[in-house]
Amino acid sequence: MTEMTYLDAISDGLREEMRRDETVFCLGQDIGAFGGAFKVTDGFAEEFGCDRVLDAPLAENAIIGAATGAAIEGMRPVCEMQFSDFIACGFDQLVNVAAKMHYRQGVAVPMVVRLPSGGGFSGGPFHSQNPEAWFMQSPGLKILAPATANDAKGLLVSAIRDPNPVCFLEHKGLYRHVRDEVPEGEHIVAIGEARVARPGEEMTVIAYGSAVHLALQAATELGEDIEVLDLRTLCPLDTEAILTSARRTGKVLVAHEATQSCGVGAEVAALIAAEAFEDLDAPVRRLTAADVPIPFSPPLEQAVLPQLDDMKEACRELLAY
Amino acid sequence: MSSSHTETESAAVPVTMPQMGISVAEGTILEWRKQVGEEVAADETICDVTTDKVDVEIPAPAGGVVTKILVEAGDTVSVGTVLAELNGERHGTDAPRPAGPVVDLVPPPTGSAGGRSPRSTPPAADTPELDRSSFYSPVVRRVAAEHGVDLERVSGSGVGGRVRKADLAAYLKELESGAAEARPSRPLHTESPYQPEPETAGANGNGDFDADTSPATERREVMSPIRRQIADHMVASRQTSAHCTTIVEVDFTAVASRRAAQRDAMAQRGVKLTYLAFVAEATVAALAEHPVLNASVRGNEIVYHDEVHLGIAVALDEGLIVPVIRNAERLSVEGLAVAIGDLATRARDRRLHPDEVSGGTFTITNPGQFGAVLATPIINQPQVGILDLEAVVRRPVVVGSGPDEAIAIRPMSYLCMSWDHRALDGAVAARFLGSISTRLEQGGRQ
Repeated sequence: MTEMTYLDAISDGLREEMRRDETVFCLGQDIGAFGGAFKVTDGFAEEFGCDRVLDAPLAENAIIGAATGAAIEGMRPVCEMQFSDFIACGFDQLVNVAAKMHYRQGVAVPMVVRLPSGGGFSGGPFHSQNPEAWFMQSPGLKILAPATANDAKGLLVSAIRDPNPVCFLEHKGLYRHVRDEVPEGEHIVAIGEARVARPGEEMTVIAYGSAVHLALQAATELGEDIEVLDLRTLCPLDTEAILTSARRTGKVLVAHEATQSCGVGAEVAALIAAEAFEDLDAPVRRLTAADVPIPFSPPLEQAVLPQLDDMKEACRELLAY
Repeated sequence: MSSSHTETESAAVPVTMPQMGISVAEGTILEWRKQVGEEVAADETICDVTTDKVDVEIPAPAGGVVTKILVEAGDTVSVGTVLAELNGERHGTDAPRPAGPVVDLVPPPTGSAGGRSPRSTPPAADTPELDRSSFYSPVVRRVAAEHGVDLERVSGSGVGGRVRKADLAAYLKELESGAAEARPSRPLHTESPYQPEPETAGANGNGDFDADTSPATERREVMSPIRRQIADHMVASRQTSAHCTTIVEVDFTAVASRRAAQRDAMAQRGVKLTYLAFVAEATVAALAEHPVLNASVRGNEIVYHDEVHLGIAVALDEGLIVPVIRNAERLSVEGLAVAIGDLATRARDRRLHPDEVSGGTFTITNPGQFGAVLATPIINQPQVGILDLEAVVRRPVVVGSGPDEAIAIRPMSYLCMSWDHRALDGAVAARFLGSISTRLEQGGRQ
């Protein structure tokens, strides 16, 4: 085991898969000589050559389209969106072509789209979004959102080896701030399995990505017996883990940094209402960003995105219910 | 979002204890300027509140008539507590609700519409007037049905008296042990045969010690908030830090001459140049050399602060207050003198902003003006050191060395520093004090 950052864990997983399997290649904007906007592919062009670390033009539709074609032909492309916000430009190729290829023609599309997402750094409305819910409504895609370095590496390896198109959400705020023990060499975290990040009995916070860390900190600071369930995979959801925890504690807060309406939290809340109604001791609640664009201004951004105090307050309310 | 609605409401508007600075947790009502039935305009002062640090006027959040006063003058309540209610018209456009992070408030079972943001809606737990004792959640109904429990008999500890899953579980457990059924037949009270020994020590169990005086010759006063805050802080500090005090003697001759040379020029600029300013200057410079003294202990970590926020203890009639000079490392001796004078004046007038009395990284206290020569101060948490400047007194000392050795009259003082033995050891404390004393004996930090 080696302690490394979330960012280094992603690089590590990607590098190992490229060494292991020569059908794996990367494409994206400025990922070659420059090493990527966030330096995930730093040194990759030197090690693997420009044929496997392709600098793409400013055309996300072309990146996703080319990757889809390569995947159909048996390659395993890993696309980098410079910011997850820009996936909107590649949306059609992803949701209409890549996602539906297996359903229409029985053809596997083993590709990964890496999506640096999330706010908290005054990036404004075009560089701070959490677009996972856009893909939740597009059957045929798998969606991963790791919160730890360990999961970032293990899930990326699983994503690359998966025969389906996978959206891999990497929270930019976690890149250099989260650091934990990651196994060296082959490390696989199964897709579709949530993780109990902190066991507890009084209530459950179901979260993913950056919200996991808010929940853990809130639980620690409040000193209450709060369980934190890290979803890790958003599609397919680990319904068993969600329901097991909800049934045990009877009180659930679903938290994420993405906006609220029709988000992951809505799906989880609906699942619990349908399947665990008779075990609920309180209404299922959500803590999310407000349904507004992300502001540049730091105080406004803090007001829009869930903060530690919001998490603590939401937990306190639910505990007191 | 519903928070963007602009609507006119005629409803009870709560007046709450505001957050006054980041470190303030509670406030005491000094006086109600408006009584029940009186009209108040939006933003007009409705009451005065004192915290342990400052006095604040609380503006009415809306115009209207005061319908309820929920906290009487003299009472201390925590931030966020509803103090009073107005029956006023609040226009959505005048008082927009903040737009969220959205906490999805599912409508309470007997309550109003949900979907509002957390900062604008009092949480369900804050509306005790809503009786929820007969609302039962799905899990409570199911478990009660399974065990044939009459829920009327279960007392609820949840919001509005609601029976929680935990309440029902406790009731069932009690039922299982037979206690709930057996209790009514038991005698209500049985005198214990055990007679406790009379208390020998003075402690009454609350940490208080009763003096052996008769009530007729004593007078009791409830501690003021500031007195109580000081008491709590001092005891907590003693229990937290491993206090140790180191003392050095300093010859102020050089400082005295530098002060004499600059005093008139400074006075013309309205600056009162004190010994304290020179000590502050030397301390700030010494802190840069010994960063472990500009630090805090958090758990098993030592947190080093890059900036020096220098607390200056000011004695007021009602108690000690420690305003903080932010970024003292950027100030000259003149700047420090100005800052000290300004903070001391405003502290005496109780015009400090709450954030000006928190966030210090090191503290200097200066009770020497009353003639004391030695003290062992208590550390101002979470800092690791407090420096005490005592009276500068002219006394005979040995100066020079070898054949030039002589006894001279010099302005001398003791610098006493209490430090936290968890963070550092005596050698570091001594070196730090030595650094301050050397600088002062050379007349400043040149």
